Amino acid sequence: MKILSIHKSPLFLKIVFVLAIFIMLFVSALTYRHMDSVTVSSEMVAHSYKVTIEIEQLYTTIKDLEIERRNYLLTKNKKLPTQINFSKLIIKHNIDYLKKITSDNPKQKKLIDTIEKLCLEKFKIVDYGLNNYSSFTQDELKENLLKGKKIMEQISFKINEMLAIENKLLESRDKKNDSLINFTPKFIYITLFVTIAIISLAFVKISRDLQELQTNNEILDLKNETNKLAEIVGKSGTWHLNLVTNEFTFSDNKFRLLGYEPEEFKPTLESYFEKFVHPEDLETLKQAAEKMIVEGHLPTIIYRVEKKNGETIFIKNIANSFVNTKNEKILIGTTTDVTEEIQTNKNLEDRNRELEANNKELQAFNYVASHDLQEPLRKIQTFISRLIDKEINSLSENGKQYLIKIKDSSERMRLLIDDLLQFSRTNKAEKVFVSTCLNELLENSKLELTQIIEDKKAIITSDSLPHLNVIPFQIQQLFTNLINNSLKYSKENIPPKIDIKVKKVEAKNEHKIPFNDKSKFYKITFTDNGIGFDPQYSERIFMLFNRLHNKDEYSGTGIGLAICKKIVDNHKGFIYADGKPNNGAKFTIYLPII
Amino acid sequence: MEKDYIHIILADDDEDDRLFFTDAFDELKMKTKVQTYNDGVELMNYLMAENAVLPNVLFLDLNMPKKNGIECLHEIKADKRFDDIAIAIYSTSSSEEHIEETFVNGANIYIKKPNDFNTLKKVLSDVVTINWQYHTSGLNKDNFLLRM
Repeated sequence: MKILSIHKSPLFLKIVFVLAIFIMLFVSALTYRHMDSVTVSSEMVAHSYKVTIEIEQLYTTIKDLEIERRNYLLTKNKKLPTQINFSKLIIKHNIDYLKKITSDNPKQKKLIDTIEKLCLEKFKIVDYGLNNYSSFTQDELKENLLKGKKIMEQISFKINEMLAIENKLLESRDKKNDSLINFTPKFIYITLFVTIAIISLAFVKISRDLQELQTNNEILDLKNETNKLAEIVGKSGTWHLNLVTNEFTFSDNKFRLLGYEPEEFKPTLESYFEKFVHPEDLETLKQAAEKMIVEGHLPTIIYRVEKKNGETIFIKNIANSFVNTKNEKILIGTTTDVTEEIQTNKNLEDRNRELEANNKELQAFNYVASHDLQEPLRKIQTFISRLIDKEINSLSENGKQYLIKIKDSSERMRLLIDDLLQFSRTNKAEKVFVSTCLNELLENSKLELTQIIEDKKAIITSDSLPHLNVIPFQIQQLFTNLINNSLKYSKENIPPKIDIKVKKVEAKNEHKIPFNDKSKFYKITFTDNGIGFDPQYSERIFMLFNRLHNKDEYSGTGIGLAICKKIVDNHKGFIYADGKPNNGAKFTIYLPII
Repeated sequence: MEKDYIHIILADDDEDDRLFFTDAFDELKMKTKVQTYNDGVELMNYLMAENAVLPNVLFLDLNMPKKNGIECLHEIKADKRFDDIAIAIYSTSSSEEHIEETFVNGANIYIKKPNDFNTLKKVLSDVVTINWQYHTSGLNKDNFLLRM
């Protein structure tokens, strides 16, 4: 990963570039040096040739001198001394020149020095011969000639020696030069190949980078387009503010948010503040903007802007800073039209307030029901009880009946008021879940119903119930109502039997639970041997004021089971009733395990 | 001074309830002395008076004009002189809040006004014959509300 990122970084490219230049410089320096050495070696060969030629020329001139001297001694030609002198000059000159060009070779230099000495000796003999030839005897002449010849032989020997050395030198130089010259094209090719290789590598790398850049560009374009769409759908826009150049740019949808066509005007920070921002929010926003420019980011701020058509909308804005490749700090921000959100929130708040007010009214109503309504009723009932106790005998039979009817009706009204109170209590907001032993709640319920259980000789059996997080008084109410219901709708002359069972179940295994997951429930069933009910009413019996029986037969208000439903709803559970006429009823409660 | 009767006071603004109350004690034929007051102010005036004869049992209605039952309860419980008075809350309401509040503030029993005269008689006779010491030592939220 790290290597990859190095490989992709522009620094890598720079390093490769510098390296390539260095390699190329190195190679060209090598080439230059090679060419230089070729030149030098060629010059050396040429030099050797030159030396050889000079030596040979010297030899020829010396030979010429010898010949001219002999000629002169034999022919006495008057022109010859001048020629001889001229040859001498040439020889001197030759020797000087040879000295000069062989100064780099001590062997040759020594030889040339010897030759020079020999030549001077030779000149002496020649001069002696020239000056005294007239007085020469035959023997003297012979001796002079012999002497000259002897020196001549010595010179010839030395010159040959020189030539041999130079030839050897030439041979080696020639060989070296040849090998250098042979090597030159190879060297040039190598250089060429190295250069081509480096250029190819660079090309491959650059083209790959270019391809990657194109791909990235494509992705960027795609994202840009997606972003534009997202902005339209999300009612949002983006803006950039370059803190160095002060350039302020809007995305297309930012223009649209303000009611303009994209790029319809050229925004500046000042004109934006002046033209669009709601005067009441301007100061806050300006302060926030100043802070933003200093700190480099802007926490969420909501302000109002006025659109082109005069409509005021709420804008939520958030910004952060970003440094571009030119090392300029740019603030990038997103704005969203949150008018609807704010409106919804406001509506919600209003609704909440309304609901709160309603709740309070309901509580007030509760009080009215619990106190003010009960009070007159209680008095009516108390007076009726007094009337029945004291005055019943002074009434006619009809009067007695009427009085009993009044008593029953007022009793019924009491039941209704009590149950209604109970129902509204289960509606109350305070729902405190406490981990409770359901057995205890069941015992409490049975205790509440002791009288009626004893009267009806009911038998209640139950499994051991679990601990559960519940609203204790509500679950107790639930148990009470269910048992009470079974007791109330029991068959005449048969002692009621209620069997309570409990089982831990998973939602997906219970077809009655409307969701299909692994959430766990306690399934508690209340089965009785009462009068049962027609299955078609299995849902209706949980509705408020719904009764399946005439109120003369059974004293119900139609609220008890509605309370049960409400309580189970409060616990996010489910309650179902199964029954057959005359064959008992079964109530199933599912309470979630939380 | 050891009294040979049970001294009972009721504070209730409702004339009918006061009538039921006194009638019930009349019919009970117990040795009782029953005094009634029309509101909390009248009651407290009586109790706070010097040399006031303090009742054995005080029945307090909650909803009364001028000074309600809860206020009276606070004042009585704040005064050491009244420590021996057994306080029975006597109300139409049986709302949890009222029961809770009066229990916390030191009332001894909570009676929901019955809707039958015979029940009333039974309740009142039970209450005035309670062994208060015994009742109070084992008092909890469950037996605070008198069940009928």
